[in-house]
Amino acid sequence: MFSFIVRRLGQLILVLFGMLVLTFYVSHMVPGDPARLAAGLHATQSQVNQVRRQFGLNLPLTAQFVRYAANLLHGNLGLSILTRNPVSADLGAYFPATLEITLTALLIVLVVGIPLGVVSAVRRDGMPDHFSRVFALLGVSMPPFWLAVLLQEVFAQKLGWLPVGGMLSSYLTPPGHITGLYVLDSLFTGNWPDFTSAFASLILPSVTLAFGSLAIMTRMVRAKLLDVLHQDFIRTARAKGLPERRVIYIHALKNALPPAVTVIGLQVGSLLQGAVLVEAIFAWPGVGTYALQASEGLDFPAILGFTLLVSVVYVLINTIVDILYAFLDPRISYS
Amino acid sequence: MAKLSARHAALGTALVLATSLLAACGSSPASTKSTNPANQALVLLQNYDVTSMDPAIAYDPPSSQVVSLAYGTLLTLKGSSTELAPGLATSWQSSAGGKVWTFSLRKGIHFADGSAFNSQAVKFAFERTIKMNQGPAWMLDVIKSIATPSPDKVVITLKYAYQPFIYSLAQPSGTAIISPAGVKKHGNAWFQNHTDGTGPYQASQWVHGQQVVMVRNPHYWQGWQGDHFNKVILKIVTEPSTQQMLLQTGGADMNIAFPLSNVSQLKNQKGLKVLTEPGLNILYIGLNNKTGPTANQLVRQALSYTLDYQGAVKEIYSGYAQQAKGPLPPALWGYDASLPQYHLDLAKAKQLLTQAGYPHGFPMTITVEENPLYQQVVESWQSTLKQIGITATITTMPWATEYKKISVLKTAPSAFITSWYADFADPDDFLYPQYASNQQGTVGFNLEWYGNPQVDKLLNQARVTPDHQQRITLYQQVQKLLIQQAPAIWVLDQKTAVVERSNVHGYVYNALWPVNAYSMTKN
Amino acid sequence: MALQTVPRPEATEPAPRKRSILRPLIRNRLSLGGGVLAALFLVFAAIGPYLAPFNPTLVQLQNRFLPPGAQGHVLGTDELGRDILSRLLAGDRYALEVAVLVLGIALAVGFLVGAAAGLGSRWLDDTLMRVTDMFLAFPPLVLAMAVAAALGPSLVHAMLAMAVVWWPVYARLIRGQLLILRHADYVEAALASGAPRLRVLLRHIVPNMLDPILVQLTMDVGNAILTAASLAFVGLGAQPPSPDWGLMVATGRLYVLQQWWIVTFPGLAILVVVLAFNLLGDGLRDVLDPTLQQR
Repeated sequence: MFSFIVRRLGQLILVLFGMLVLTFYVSHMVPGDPARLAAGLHATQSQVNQVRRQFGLNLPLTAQFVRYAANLLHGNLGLSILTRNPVSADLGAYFPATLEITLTALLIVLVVGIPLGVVSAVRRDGMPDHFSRVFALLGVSMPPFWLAVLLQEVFAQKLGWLPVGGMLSSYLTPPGHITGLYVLDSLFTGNWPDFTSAFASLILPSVTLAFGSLAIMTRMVRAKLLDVLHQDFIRTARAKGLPERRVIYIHALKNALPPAVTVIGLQVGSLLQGAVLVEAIFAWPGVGTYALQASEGLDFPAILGFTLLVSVVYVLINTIVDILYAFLDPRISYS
Repeated sequence: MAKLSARHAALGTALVLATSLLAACGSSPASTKSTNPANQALVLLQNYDVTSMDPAIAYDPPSSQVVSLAYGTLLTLKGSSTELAPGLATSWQSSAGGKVWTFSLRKGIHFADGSAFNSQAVKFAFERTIKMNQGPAWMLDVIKSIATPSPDKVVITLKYAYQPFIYSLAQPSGTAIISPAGVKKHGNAWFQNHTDGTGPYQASQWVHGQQVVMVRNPHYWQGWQGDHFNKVILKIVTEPSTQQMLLQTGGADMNIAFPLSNVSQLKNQKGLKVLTEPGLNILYIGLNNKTGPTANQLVRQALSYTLDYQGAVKEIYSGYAQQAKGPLPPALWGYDASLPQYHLDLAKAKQLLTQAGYPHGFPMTITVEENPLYQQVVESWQSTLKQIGITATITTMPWATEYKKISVLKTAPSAFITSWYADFADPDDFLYPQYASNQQGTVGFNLEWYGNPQVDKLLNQARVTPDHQQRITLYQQVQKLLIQQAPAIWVLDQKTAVVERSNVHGYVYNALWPVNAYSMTKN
Repeated sequence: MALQTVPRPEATEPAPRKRSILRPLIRNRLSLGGGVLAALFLVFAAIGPYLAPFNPTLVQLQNRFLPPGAQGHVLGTDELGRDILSRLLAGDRYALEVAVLVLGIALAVGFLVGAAAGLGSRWLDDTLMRVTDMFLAFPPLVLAMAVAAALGPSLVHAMLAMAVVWWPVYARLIRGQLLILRHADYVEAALASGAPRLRVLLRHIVPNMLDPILVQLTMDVGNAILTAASLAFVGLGAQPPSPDWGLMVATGRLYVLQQWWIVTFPGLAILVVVLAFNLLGDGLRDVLDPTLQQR
């Protein structure tokens, strides 16, 4: 087991390095002149050259990469060409907003996905199964940016129940910075108006994000539960005359849920990239909005920073899930 | 901060005196009439995030909004006009044919940090902009030296006589005066996210991608008597439909540049005012004057007859535009309403094409940036071009990519669509960078690769001629030549849609200036 | 994705492929519905452009924003006065093209890499799988965005970018299947009886790999269409005036509040097609995945 973990972590480092090389070279293939863009429309050639020198854009690509990697080891992701701030600072500023909707979306996926999956498995091929499968599949089949505008139109425009966008009503002062997540911070500081506004603002973006991942959760719970229900110990339990409810909800679920739920970790990656499509529509100041703005402005350091951030989170969670999964499912060999 | 209501203040003269005294000393921002917290803040929608708060760097509308609230400039423009008005300078004059400019400065003004504004600060700020050499620095490039004979007098000597200089000072980019004491204390980088100027509101918080909060500057020289906002909030929202819903539900107060793609949807909405204001810009389709069929003047003239101008103005821009007559917008001095204008006439276009040797048309490429209206205009154009046998391929790309393509002759497309927005109120700012032959490619903005010695001569002459009327005549000659040679298809002048909630009062539109929140109220 | 490579004990001895997949599929009404819709999608790709009542790219500014039903425009017109129904019919083919090309390239590359890894030496296997892991480590849309931006915006580049993202899934899937099947009794038996390796591969192994690949492909048709739409949304996919559904949603969203039909119908079209393939894939998986067989 120990050697399995060590090997998995070794792979992790290799993968991360490969990723670094790939992102760097891919994003530098982009045609366009970021120095010109940063200097402004009317900038003279000498102004452009100065910006180019300032960001090291005049060096050969390999030299730029070495410089980038060396800086990275010191936690330095370079300066954003558009915002002129350190990319790490920018990402740090934008990330809590994304974390907030991502975590909320995960919560929604769990709370809605597990019951749907259970119902699906228990009433296999019945109406509830069909209903929950279609509902979940609707989520993966819907373009998230379309869902976003639909929800806005219905719940903000027509019904007026929820805010259209933003993290907090403009007239309120954001709560003191504890975690960076407005809902938690306002709760900790007992700021009730902030809490209600932040909570209401959170609903539409997180529901939009969550909808896309619901199907996978439902499908996993359904599959694992069906799997377990066919195993010997369940037959034994049934043979012993235990009530069917008890068999399903206690014995079977206890064994089926942990491996199924671990899989949700894998969804973090897709939630993070969903942020690119959803955040801007909800005026949500997260890394997705930042990435969209960076790709429009060809802001290399910012694009790289974002890609790396998302990929590292994705890879780390994948590794953790793999290890957890190995613990939870004894049928997997570690060799 | 003491919150006194004006009604209470009126009860006792002593209190009134005290209040105005305090305000006059500039030590304490006084009261506002309104007690509703929502009415003490003005929420301004911005179409994208602020990039920099540094006056030597800020160059885009959201950044300029911050800078213009936090800093002062020597000159401003009067009301909605392009006429010069005093700012931090009370008077100005030129000598040596426009080579030397002398300014008298207002006295008793302080920066937000409490230090005094004087001629040294002007010299410091201008030299800082030039030295930092960022976006707006080119406008001060012409300065040779700055002298400060006394604390309230500045003498600026230019490298050559240049009449447009005075207009380039009446706008907020690169010319706003920063506090020398503040720069000394905090260093340059600090100003990326902070402000220290003589303006009414200073930045207090910037939540990236979300909002910038600006609060009263206690040292503001016009004082805080009367009804003024406590806070100005710049709220960043990129999606037009989200902006629309925010304005309708009261989540935001105004946007002075509401996306024109969606403005027709705001008509007759309860609680909203939509004002249509003239813009200082031109939407044009640049043609490649050096290579391909468009190098032929007859072809360019033919293409000028293939665009559905009226459809673009009335339908795509929903009337928030006016068909262009040449390269200058109607709101700018030097515009000539008597100039000829192209119109949609496919028969005429066909005839010109045949004359040029392309009776069956030719394939061409068009590039466009990610702007729904520009895209619709070129899609409409593509559709009419097809009717006379010209097959056009449209490629959408980010502006940086597009610029790299069109600024190099080898990769330049046959045509590109973009807008030129005025930096300052002088025809030189439109005509010189776009059509002078020494501005071709990456040097200036002559992306049509147009060159005409006669135009060059007229443009240079207009730069050094001190007489205003004479300059107008010169620019009209330039326009006539340009329209005839058709280096570009000038499509339309985009109007500005100012959308505000009906309880917002006191906004005065000016094409070159952002919102002056100090003179506004809300009830 | 990591899960698919985990060999399931039940799957180590697949029965030679004889049973019909059609019958249980028909029994499941949802999957049947998905199958019918997916078939319709294919049919419209062939005949759609001929059914279009109007020219899908003809701009008629005076007819912009016509609501559904007005002047013979069943689904209304868009911001340039083009008939939405005609554009949807013409766009069907684009959506199919994207799916076929992306998955075709991904499958071909995935098969080569997967086969080399599954059948080659341990060292080759390790190297190829690390490279595959690296690609899998990227969130697919983010990588596709980077690649599409690097190549320049166009539908073809977007498809290439998506293929770059998709092949590793197939490489892993095929390698995993190969590892299982290589040691299956009947393969060992065939090899032991002296049958040529290539013949064993083609006769005994490949046919038995088809089931999971088929399931994956079916589900991915929807994914590919959805990802292409997302790339169009961020401006890196199809270019105007092509009647691409994703592009139609992306540009139409500006008018969602007053002219709801411009964004709604292409959105629905994407939804229905992606849902159809997902339902079909789900049904196929139920039928083909031995762990879910009713016992």
